[in-house]
Amino acid sequence: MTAPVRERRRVGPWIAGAVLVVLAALIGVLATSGGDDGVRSTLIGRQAPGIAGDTIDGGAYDLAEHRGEFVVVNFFATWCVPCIREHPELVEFEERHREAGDASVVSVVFDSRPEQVREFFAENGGDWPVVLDPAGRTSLEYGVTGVPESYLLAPDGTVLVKIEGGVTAAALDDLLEQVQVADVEADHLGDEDEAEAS
Amino acid sequence: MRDLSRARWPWIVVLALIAGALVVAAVGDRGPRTTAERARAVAESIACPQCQGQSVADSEAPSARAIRTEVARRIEAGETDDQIRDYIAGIYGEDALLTPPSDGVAGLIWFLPVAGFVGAVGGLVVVFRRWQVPEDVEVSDEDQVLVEQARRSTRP
Repeated sequence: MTAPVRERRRVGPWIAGAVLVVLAALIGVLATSGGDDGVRSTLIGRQAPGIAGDTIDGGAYDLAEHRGEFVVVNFFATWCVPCIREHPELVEFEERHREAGDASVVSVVFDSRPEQVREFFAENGGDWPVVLDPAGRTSLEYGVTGVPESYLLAPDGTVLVKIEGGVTAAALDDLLEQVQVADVEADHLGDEDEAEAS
Repeated sequence: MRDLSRARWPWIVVLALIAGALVVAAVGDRGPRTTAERARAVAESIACPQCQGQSVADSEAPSARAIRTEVARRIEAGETDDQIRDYIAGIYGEDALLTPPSDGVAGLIWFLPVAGFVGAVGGLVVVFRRWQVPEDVEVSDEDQVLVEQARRSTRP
């Protein structure tokens, strides 16, 4: 009796299929990991972490007291050249909005000594609260990765935008305008919905 | 058949040892003992946000120092290592963790090598089994005649 000849199954297609599956998974991982655009923040759309502490002029600051206005939270260091470059822009923005009372600026010291910060403001101007952060906890809670870094907070305290690098007064004003226009449009749509419902 | 079972025993023992070692490595008590050691271990598993290719434990950047302080504070407060890492990942994103998470898409990093290894071993087993000469082959009279004829025809 002749031994049964086993049919030779082709292994090649299976191996090729397995390689394809692995490659597809790899492509999927790379596609969903997203690019590192440097301005993403897990805080955007969430309530901003609190900022409460001593200021360089011996006073106290509490972010919670600034609900109802836009707040630019600026992290800076005295040794940082882009911080020195952006400072006049912050001065211009803050002066423009001080009278209107619709937006304010608060700076958080990042790795600089208080006397250096006082000297920095004496030289470069600026009249807004500068909060000390000796243990770096506020910087940590905001996820600061370098200076200068700024966050625009909405009047209700949510984080709207994270800006890495220097800001300009014009760019901040543009952001405020965009947010205000979006709010007006949202209110308008809400009114229309209510009218339709009634 | 009995010989075959006996030949498999060493392999079964080796597999059992490997499985045992994996289980011990996965769930065994390997945690650092002191708070400082725990803080160092956690800091080593977090990427420095300000630097390239350095862990928080190895960097003197201001943000790395702040994270080390926060890690120590949270250990003192009784948080687990995973809770602390989750807190940091919640701020800086999952990319801040040097040890990828075991779930989600990033979990494929752990799964794919194991799946590849298992697949490769499985493939080798299949190939080796095919190479084995079947033991129950019986040569028929017709086959023997054919072989004899072939031999005669090739003899000088």
